[in-house]
Amino acid sequence: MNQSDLILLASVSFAFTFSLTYLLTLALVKTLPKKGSVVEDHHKQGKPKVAWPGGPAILFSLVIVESILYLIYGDLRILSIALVTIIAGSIGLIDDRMKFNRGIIKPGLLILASLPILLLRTYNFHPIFPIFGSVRLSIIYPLLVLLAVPIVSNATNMIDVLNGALSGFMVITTIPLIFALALRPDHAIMVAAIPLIASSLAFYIFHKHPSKIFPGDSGSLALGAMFCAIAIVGRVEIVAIIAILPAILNSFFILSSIKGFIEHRNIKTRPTILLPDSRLAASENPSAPATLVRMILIGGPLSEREVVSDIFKLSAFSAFLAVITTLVTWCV
Amino acid sequence: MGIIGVAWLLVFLGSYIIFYLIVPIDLFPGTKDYVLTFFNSLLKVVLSIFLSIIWILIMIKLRDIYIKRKL
Repeated sequence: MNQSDLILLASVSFAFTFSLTYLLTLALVKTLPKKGSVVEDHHKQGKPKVAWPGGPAILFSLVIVESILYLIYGDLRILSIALVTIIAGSIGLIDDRMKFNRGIIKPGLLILASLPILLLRTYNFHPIFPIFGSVRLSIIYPLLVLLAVPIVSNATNMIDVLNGALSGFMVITTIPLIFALALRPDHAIMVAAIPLIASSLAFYIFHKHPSKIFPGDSGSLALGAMFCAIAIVGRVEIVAIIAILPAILNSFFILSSIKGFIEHRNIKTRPTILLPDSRLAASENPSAPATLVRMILIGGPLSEREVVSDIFKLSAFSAFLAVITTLVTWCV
Repeated sequence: MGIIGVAWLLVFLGSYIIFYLIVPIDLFPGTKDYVLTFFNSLLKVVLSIFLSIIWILIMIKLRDIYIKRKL
């Protein structure tokens, strides 16, 4: 495929995914409240009802576009990405509807989402590290693949706490991944990564403050799992780890402070407090989980928009470090 | 941003230590004894896990320092 065809395919892929997610989300924003499928927005006075879950719009558009790209390229790695996304999104959809009460069930089930990568053998057990290149991890790498999808998709799920945080975060975080895939170069996976950014961006229009729809676990798990699958099959694992550091550190800090797996809806002590002027403040209760939002708010109360803006700044910083990692890995 | 920067540096440093210093360890050069080869590999795994635990402890310490300083 020559360069002009590649640019055309990438552009069409972006435009089609963006339009599909936009239209489907718009339809969900209108239909879900009529069916009573709404949840309270806890970070606003009066707790307004917001349509939920918007994940099916993300999931459907991502899977449609990835399937078309698989038919164009015939690359099993793209099929793996689609399958990982379907399985993780479906687990999220079940959780949205049935609610897994034990915190370990969801990460446990998400191991299933890793299987397409292993069964289709679309991984390479020579991950590429900055400075010293690829290393052979023939035994441990498949085990890391099994763990990676649950860890990354749960990390993205845990950052989905404020209006627009998840969708905006995914847009920023995917940019260095596409940059690394372009530089490697791995054009098939680079084009396959574009729907992730397009879908997140289209969803962000409805998800930003004040949210008209929440993605739910179906959206957050699908986005996280797809990000992870792209990183593994595209062999840009280290760049992906650096890019997604704010989410990884957020989930790590939560798990280490509550000492175990627990559903966020089951956390007894809230990490933040809603003030009468609608600003958010950090809880000073020592038993409150040390979330990223609480750590941002420790400096003083902020509006929800300001907290989300701070999360985006951290994501941009991580994305910058991921770009440096890319340059060190493939240009030095 | 500081914690993210430190985490980034630690990923670099940790991977350097694991792949440049730990992986080449060969306590029994030239041996074909499976038991000795197994112990050599086990040592590498233990050292790598130890490093990962140190990474986790550093991150927890940084978080606690950040929270205590700001509160």
